[in-house]
Amino acid sequence: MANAREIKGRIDSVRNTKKITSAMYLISSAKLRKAKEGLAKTRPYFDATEHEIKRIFQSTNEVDSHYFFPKEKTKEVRKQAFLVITADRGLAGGYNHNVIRAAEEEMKKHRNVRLYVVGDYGRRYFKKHKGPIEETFYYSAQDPTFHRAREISALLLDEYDSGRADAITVIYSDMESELSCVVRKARLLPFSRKDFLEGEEESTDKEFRFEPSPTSVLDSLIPSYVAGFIYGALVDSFSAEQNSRMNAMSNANRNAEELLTRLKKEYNRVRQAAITQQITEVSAGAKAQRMRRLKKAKQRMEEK
Amino acid sequence: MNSFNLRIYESDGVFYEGEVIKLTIPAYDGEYGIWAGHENVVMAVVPGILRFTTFEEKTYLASVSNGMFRVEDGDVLVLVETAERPEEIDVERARRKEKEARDAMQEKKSLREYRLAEMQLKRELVRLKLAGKEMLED
Repeated sequence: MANAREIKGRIDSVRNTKKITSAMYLISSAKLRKAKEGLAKTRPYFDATEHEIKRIFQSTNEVDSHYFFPKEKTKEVRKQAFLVITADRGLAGGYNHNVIRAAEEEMKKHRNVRLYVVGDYGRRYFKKHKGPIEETFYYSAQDPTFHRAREISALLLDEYDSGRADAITVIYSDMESELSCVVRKARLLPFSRKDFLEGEEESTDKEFRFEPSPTSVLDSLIPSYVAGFIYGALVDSFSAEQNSRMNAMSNANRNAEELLTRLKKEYNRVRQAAITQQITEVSAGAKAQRMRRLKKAKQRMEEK
Repeated sequence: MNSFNLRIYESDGVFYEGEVIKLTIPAYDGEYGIWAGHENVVMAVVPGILRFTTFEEKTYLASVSNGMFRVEDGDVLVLVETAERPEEIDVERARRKEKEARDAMQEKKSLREYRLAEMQLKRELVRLKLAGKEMLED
């Protein structure tokens, strides 16, 4: 059994760690709330944009934009671009690993893949494993803002417009419930008409005049739509990250709690044993002294 | 006077929602005015100054960026990436950003950066114009 001072030292260190993990838990829950508020604010704009794109399709057939799958599926998708969203830091359970594993699986399916990585963790991982990184975005995972999303979408749209990428896929995490998060893959570009034509059937008998043309209206909407989609993915990932961290930290807190009870019990046992031993020693010493005194007194009596 | 319902959504929230009498929007070929009973139309919005007048005969100005607007049965929806009231504009900051954008365009880095800087410059110029207008009216 370790001695009391050693155990005391361990208790102190576990306590300190627990302070840190519970602080991280609180920080994560505050960040999660803030990110969700931000997303709720952009919802009306994003939903309205999606709705308008849908409507443009329903009211006219003459739309032809290179952002859409060609009507006849002739063009083969060769050059893939993946936007992989990871966190800047670890300590979030399996969050980062799940995203990276999903990205690697997807990469095996296609030959010509380039990566656009958000988050320091993913950047370091793919660098170390010689992944085909094309562009990384520093610190965008930390604080998702619409401004950042617009920068990312401008870059991706540029790659797409110039033909350096035929398809853009986003790999991100989403909170499924309080306890679990899932990795999602979504094709961002090209859009398929089906995605927009499906869903609620609107009355299309209303006549709209498009100025200067439906395609030009659509082209001015699409960058916002893409930015909105990326923003949504960034916030979902950020929420999932904070949620994973909260779970990881609450597990750590629980483990620390268990460890502390065990250590305290052990400490008390050691302390008790030490006290018992001391009492035994003292009483044994006292007894020995008394015996000596008695012996001496006896000797004196005999001398007299 | 007849009024119509106007909604202005920007990317991080609802900018305005309510009844107005008159609305002027910057469009690709100049300013586009809307009164109650306008025909149904969908049009692209370019960076510029948007103006609307409420019941109390008060006119509000706002600088807007790219987007679109739609008139549907007398209901007007404006979708723009950003919209700002004159009092929200920080003139010093806008001047600084304008200069930064001009410098970035001079540096000729890449086409993408050039375009981003160009967009930024457009936005800042609209902001400065709006802020200047506000001062004249005061």
